[in-house]
Amino acid sequence: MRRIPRLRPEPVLLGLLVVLTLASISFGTTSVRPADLFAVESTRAALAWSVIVEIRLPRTLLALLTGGSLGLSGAVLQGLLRNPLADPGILGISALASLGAVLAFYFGLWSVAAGGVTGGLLAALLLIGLAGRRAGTLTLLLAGVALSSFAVALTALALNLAPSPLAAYEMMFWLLGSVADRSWSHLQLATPLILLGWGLLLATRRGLTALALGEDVAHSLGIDLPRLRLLAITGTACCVGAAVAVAGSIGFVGLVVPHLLRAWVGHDPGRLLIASGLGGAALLLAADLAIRAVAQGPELKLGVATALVGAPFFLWQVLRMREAP
Amino acid sequence: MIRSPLLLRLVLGLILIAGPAAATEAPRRIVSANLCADRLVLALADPGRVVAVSPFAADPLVSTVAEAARGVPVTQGGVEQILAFAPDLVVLGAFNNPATGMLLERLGIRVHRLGTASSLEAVRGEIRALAAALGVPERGEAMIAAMAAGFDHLPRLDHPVAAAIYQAGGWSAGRGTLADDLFTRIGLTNITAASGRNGFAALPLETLVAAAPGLIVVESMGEEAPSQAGELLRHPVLAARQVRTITVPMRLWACPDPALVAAAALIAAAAP
Amino acid sequence: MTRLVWNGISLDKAGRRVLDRIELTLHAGELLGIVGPNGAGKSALLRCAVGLDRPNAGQMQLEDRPLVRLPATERARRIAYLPQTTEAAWPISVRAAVALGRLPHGDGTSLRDQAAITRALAAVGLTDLADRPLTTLSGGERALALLARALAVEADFLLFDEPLAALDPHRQLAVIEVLVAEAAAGRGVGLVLHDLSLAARFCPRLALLAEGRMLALGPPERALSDEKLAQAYAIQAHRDQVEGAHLLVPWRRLPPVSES
Repeated sequence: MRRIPRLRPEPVLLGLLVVLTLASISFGTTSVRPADLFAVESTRAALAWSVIVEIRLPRTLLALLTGGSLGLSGAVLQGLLRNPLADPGILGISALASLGAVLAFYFGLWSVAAGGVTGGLLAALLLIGLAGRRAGTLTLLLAGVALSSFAVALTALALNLAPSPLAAYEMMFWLLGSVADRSWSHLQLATPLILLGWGLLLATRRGLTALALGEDVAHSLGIDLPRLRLLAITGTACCVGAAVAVAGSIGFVGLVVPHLLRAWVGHDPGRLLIASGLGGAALLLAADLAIRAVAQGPELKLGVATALVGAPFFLWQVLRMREAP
Repeated sequence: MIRSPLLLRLVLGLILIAGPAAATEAPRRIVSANLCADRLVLALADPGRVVAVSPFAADPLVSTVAEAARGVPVTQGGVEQILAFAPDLVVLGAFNNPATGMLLERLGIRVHRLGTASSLEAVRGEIRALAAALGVPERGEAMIAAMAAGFDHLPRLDHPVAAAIYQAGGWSAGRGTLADDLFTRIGLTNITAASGRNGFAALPLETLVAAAPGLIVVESMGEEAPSQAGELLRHPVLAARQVRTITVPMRLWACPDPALVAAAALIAAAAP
Repeated sequence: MTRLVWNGISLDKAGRRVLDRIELTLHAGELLGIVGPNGAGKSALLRCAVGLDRPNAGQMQLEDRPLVRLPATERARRIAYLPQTTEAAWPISVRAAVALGRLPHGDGTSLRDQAAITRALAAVGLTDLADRPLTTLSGGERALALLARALAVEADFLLFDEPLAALDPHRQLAVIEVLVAEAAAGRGVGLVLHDLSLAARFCPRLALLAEGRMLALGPPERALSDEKLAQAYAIQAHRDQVEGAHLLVPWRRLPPVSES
């Protein structure tokens, strides 16, 4: 592949991530700073430890893992379906993961995570079953839309049948997406599955690059298409399912980030993967930082923030596409 | 900011692996991060011991302890902010982020969770439990006794009255809800419960009218009471029968605390 | 000797018999033309060879080994396929598109890969347009880029489905010359062509398909004899010899002939 003779996205994004991570553990809703860790006064040092290591750090890491999962899976799905509209939300994986988590809500944290991943994997199985192993892109997209609508309807039903308005309220707020006050317990739960998902997704790089000229050419180049689809779908189910389970439903990252970075990687679908992972992590962490910086009243939910920014951005992209020759 | 030796010991304990601190002494730095918790905590605990409350505590629209909340620092409810108050007890409620309670406990801070009560018995249980956690069980009993006396002094009904809570959209409270228990205590027949509905259920207008209601109870957010009741009365079916309605401010029965007595009094007084 | 064999291939699709007991061998160093009317099964013939369609009967063989036993990557290295239509989903550069042909060999960055890409671009005359996005090219230029992609594989067998369709006469002749050279260099080239004149002029051997069956196999005079043309196309052609090559131009339509 020809190298783009300008700044490469991967180092830039990595640098941005480092800056954002440092900012995220340095600033929060109080004035505790990393320097306080070394304070002479032991109480200040102890407080700083609690705040930075037990509160800000897990939150930061979870934002990175979630954002990375969303960006990466968005890029993979767009490359697989050869459609810039694809993202884990579109294929119904996020919706079923949310449903799984909501149903498991009252059985405690571990069940919520298990529910989320089960939902995600169920979505994967249903997708493969509905669309068939040898099905084309259109079938896959339609299956995803059907699955998504179904899951959203069932979630609405679950809210409707909630044992009390309080329970419905809790579920609704959780669904809006947040990484606030998440701890190392949440990380322990989600990280192995997320990393597994990343492994599966990154294995699709070569196949996605080959798909740039269509499925027939990709097949003739030796790519096993059903296996590629399986990797993409199960990888997405694992990392998005786990992320949704601990952070709720956060959208638009998987849609927006690959869009932003595609031209920068020379439109190479394979190369887009790592860039999108880094970009998604950076975007979500930046959004979370913004929320904490602005928070004067009740905290804005992360999913709401990404939707508020993501939807207009997407609309703008659509308008731009219309004007292009 | 943190000077007390007790506090020093407590905060240092955070960096050791510690379970929740043994509750042998009454907490002295209480943070309440929930409206219902605020109302009870400010009513039960010594003023000096409450170091932070939620932003709602000072809002007279929803709080019954707005006066007491004046001057008390406010916290939005995130663990980072709560930690800054160096609490030894944090009272959370049903509407808090579940992760908050988990993280606080992980850090070795005692957490008391106030539940939602679906009966008067449960309300008593919540008050007792919170009073115990605050180290003032006798005040909890006193509050409960006062509530009982308040209920005893409600006007007696000399004939059966069928009533229902009825909101725009048909929402009502059936068997097994706090409202239902309140109706029973007052001596009203809950139409929604009688029709076999449990929990928060929708009550069809037909069923309501067929039961010949003597009183319809409506919730309102604020003092602009007429609007909700007005909406309902406008329905020809209800207007024709000239059914009595009473609007009860949300504030009075949002929480498991003594304000329920005032709600009951309003309703009992309105019964024909 | 290296050869690609269609051994009794039959293929059914949507209840229709698309290919009926086809026996065909493509030898290394040969330029084989595959001709026939619309719907004859020409594309299906190539698709079976690369595993895009699975035959209901018969077997594809590469040097007497069943093709299905070959690992996909090795098959991709030995056989290059150019489909009739290709849609590029993303505006990748011409060079990036051509580089895809090197995927069976690695990731496309080695010196050998670079050399192959450069050669392929030069062969089709697109060296100057190498950095342009594929989607900004004209139809003919895009066809050349996709052809270059298939050439870059440097496979032993080239199976191209109507590579000349979108090209102007100059480019058509240029490409045919490239393919003749590839065959001369020892590759087995199988071309599906709809232009009978080009087929008759450049292909020493032709396979004539109609309704899934092989009607004729042999040099143009035999495969495209008057009788065969009437049977397969219901046309009459004008023939001549020019510069030692067979000139064949479809001339007149005939009333449709029923199969005997």
